[in-house]
Amino acid sequence: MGEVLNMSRQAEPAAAQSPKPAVVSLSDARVTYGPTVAVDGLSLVIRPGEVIGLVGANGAGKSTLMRVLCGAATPETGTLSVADAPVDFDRYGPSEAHVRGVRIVWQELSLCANLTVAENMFVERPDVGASALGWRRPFRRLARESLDAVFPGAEIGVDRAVGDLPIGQRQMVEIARAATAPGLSLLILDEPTSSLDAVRSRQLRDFVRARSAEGLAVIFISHKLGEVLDIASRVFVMRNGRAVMDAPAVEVTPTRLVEAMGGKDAVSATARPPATRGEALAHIGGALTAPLGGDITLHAGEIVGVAGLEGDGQKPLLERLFRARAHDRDVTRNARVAYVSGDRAREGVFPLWPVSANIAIGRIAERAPLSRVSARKERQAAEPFAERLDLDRSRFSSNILELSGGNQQKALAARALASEADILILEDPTRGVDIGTKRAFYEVAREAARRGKLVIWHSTEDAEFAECDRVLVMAAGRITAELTGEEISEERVLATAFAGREAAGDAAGAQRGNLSLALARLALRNAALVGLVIVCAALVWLNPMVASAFGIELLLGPAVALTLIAFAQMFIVGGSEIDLGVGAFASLVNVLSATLLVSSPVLGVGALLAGLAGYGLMAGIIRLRAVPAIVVTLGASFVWYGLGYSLQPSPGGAAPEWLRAITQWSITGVPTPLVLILVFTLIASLLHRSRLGTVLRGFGSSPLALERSGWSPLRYSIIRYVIAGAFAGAGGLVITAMNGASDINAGSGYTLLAVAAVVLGGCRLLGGFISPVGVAAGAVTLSLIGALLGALGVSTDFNAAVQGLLMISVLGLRALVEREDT
Amino acid sequence: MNCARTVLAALVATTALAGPTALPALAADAPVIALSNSFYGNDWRRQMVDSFTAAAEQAKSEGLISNFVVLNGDGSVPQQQSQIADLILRGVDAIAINAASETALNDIISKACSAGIAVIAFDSLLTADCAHTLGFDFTAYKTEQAEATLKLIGDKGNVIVVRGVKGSGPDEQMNAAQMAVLKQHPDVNIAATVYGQATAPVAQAAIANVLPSLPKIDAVLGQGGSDDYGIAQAFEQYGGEYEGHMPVIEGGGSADFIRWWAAQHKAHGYTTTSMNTTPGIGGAAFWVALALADGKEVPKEMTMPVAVVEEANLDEYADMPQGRIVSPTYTQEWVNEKLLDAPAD
Repeated sequence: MGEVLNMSRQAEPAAAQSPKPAVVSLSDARVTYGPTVAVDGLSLVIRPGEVIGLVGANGAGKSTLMRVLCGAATPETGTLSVADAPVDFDRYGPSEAHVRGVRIVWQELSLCANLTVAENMFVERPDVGASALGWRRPFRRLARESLDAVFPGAEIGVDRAVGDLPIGQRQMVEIARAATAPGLSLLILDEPTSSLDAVRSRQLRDFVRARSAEGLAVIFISHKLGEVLDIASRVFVMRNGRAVMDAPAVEVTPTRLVEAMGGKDAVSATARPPATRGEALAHIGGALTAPLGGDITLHAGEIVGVAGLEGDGQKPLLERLFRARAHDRDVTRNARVAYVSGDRAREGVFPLWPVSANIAIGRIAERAPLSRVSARKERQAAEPFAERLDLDRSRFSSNILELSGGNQQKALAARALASEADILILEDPTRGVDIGTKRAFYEVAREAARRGKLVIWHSTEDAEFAECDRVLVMAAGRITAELTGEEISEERVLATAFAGREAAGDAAGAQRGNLSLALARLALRNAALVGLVIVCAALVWLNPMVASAFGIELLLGPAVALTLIAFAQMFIVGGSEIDLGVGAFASLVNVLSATLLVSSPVLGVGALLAGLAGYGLMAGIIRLRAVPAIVVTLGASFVWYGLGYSLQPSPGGAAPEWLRAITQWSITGVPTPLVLILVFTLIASLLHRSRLGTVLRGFGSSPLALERSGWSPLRYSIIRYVIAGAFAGAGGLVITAMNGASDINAGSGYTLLAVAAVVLGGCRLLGGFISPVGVAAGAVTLSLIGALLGALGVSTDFNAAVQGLLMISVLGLRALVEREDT
Repeated sequence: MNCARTVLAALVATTALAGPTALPALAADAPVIALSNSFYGNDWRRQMVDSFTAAAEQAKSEGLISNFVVLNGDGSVPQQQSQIADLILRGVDAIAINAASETALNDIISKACSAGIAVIAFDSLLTADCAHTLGFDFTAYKTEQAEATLKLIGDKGNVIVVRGVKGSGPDEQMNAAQMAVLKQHPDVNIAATVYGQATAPVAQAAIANVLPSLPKIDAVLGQGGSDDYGIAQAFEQYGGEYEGHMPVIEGGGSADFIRWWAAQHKAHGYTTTSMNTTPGIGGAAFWVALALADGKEVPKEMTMPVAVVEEANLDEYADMPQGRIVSPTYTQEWVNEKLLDAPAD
């Protein structure tokens, strides 16, 4: 320990003057991933109030080092103390790090996209007390306060789902969430400004400055060297897992930094010949260019920048250029196009594929569907581009996720460059990429333009526009200025963007949506309810008696069990899994409750609880042994059936009296099944809206984010399955109660109907988005279709086909609206 | 006669949601008869529905009914529940039902009964108290056929028992009957028991799976449906010692099997037994439903005879069209005489 302090004293005199104890001291840490040494015997001491600017090329080991500090990675050797207390790595995970005041804002954003801003606040700070009902209120306030503290005037709706926010705002939420946590002693910001515009970036630096004056230690990781030197008190440069420079920021210049990182020809700005304009490839006009007073034509051989403040319509413009739909008269193009997105995790990489395939897909996608693909040839075609971007050839066969973020981005850039498109759209292509690669990237883009391609480039780093021949500056969704040649400079771009925004007045005005689209969206979001209303209206029109209490009772009776089983499936689907045994389990409970529960109630209740435990066990197997849920639940369905057959070889049995009493009551004029369905839907909704439900939804869409916030995936997986088991079991009990007997084969139809109800109900099979009201409406609709077709006189042979068509058309329409949304 | 609609109207009136609404526009006096068939995916069920429809058409042309409704399901319980709900709301007078589950339709059926609709469950029965039943005596006919089959192999040797639809009532009863017979034949050894689901391809695969590990098989006890032909195919495919010396495979009355039997008989003098439940029950169920709707006295439980093919009458069936199942057509007279007027057991 003393030795480490000595070393750091020699290396870094500024810290030696500080008498305060270290916030964090790491010594001799070493982390390897297979043959790659990510962190190689590195030591780092951080004192209160220090702002450490951490820089290094992509893959230098910065992110790995941070993982060690915040408990997400365990080093093979080395020691770590936080606030002078040594850390036991076996027990040092994200939640322990939080307790000790160490928090990180990840480069790969780790918010749950399906949760609201306020709910994400809760996920990170579950300790904040709140009442059971209306528990969101304190978190809304907290979210608002946090955002205001870091980004004054940000005005992000705290009840909006994070996934609906532009990437810059997501980053703001994530930063505010971590930066305002109580008891914080070390805040790590990994590329915090990669998606922020200049204003937000400045606000963040002001915040950091203010908090560090109060004693907060901050590690600021960024490739934007200007920002680093502006904010840091001390600069720490990494290269190949080692520290190569540790000096007070005042003594460092950008040039020295780049040299230390190992960048090449970083100093000389690229001297470039004037662009030679080729033929016109794309055209922008109409309302978009109204402020300019004329249309814009983009030519082959140009590099055109798209600039503006965050969320001012740059990304939508790029997407319109990419799609160039037939009905879009304002944005047209007449050449093939390739797109590189800066949001690589969401719309860039194919996570299961190696690097080479990730590059080759761009070329392959352009060919005829049945053409031959040779891995070797694709590799050869990709190599020159990858090499020019300094992407290591030996990593070609690694899975793309094994590369650092910057290197992944290089692979995506190589994909676009290797394709045969005439227009390259680069959306913040150098996000999280080191300076050396950036330079290489500029050169490659330049060469692509020379070879007659049109490069359209959007960046959040305004300095990058110096690489462009022309810059279109956007404000409030329109192009307000066009800069060319000498006019292009960082200051000019920023000034024009601000001027444009002021001229456009309230930026929010531009967000006004199209009313009919909004209505269509509303209808589709509630597709199941709309479907239910249509089916009911048709049934009543065909036979008015359907609308009587008796009619409702008759038609809804069978829907009660299906609704419950669909809820069970819904909770599983919410975790992006699927339960193929849900109908079988309901049948088993049907049999259990009509046999054992009658003959020996104690044993019966025990058996039912054992069934629930079985569901918990399934979750354990799925999580611990990483077996796909579809396999485990399918296997379990055979177990449920097997148990059912041996308990009751042929249908029969009786229902316990108390169970019958629950469903067989009746109040004149009130259809019992309707009341039951409403009560069960209310229960499912309360569960869904509760804190537990929120965590489950979070796990459904972003398990990693939840894990990083300190939640146990195993525990919540088990809870999810036990909830599902309870609903399916309740479904089985209802079947027993209504029929007064059991039949193990009777439940087989329920499994797939439940999936159908869940899909109709607006849940996403990918997880995270569920809707109890929608699912209940879906279940009821599906159970009415038989009656509707019967009443219409349609041959029942078409029944299954109608259900299928209904599902497919709902999914298709939903996909259409979601595309319009983006 | 139209008590169903009267009760229904009363029910609707008390609930008062729909107000004094008109009942569905069906002819006033003659009854409406419905068939709710849980499953329409095999030859037996199609032939059954055809026989119901033929009887109904005849009754309609004679003015005995004002209309009839046929609703086929997809084999699932929720589907059939929903269809029966629709039939109740249409105010039909009687429902003949071939049920998807013995128990799971009880709730909706008791609602039908309390709405004043007569219910006759046939073939695949259900256990709701208020329903009349028209079933086959699986125990009796399977006992008879098993005894006849074992007699053909001299009451000794190896047999395979092919079971039917797992977890269903008929499978349980037929298997119990066969086991009881086998118990009285100590020289007959059960070499294997498999599930054929009363379906040719399933039965064929199940037999083909076990054959290589078994001693020479002398007889196969099946459950009908179309398992008979699947079993025969499995032995044909296996060949070897069975070529020209097929075991005695119990027939279930399918045309494919009868034709195969006739061909084997011609070539090798092969013989076996065939008994089957008759799809003509659909017609019989119609006439019973009509009797119920007309308020006639109908026994609570009735039993249908089975169809028998023997060496003696094999030639009559040898040129049956493919996909048909041996079955007589049951007329109204036959139903009146054999079912409605039969003394209760």
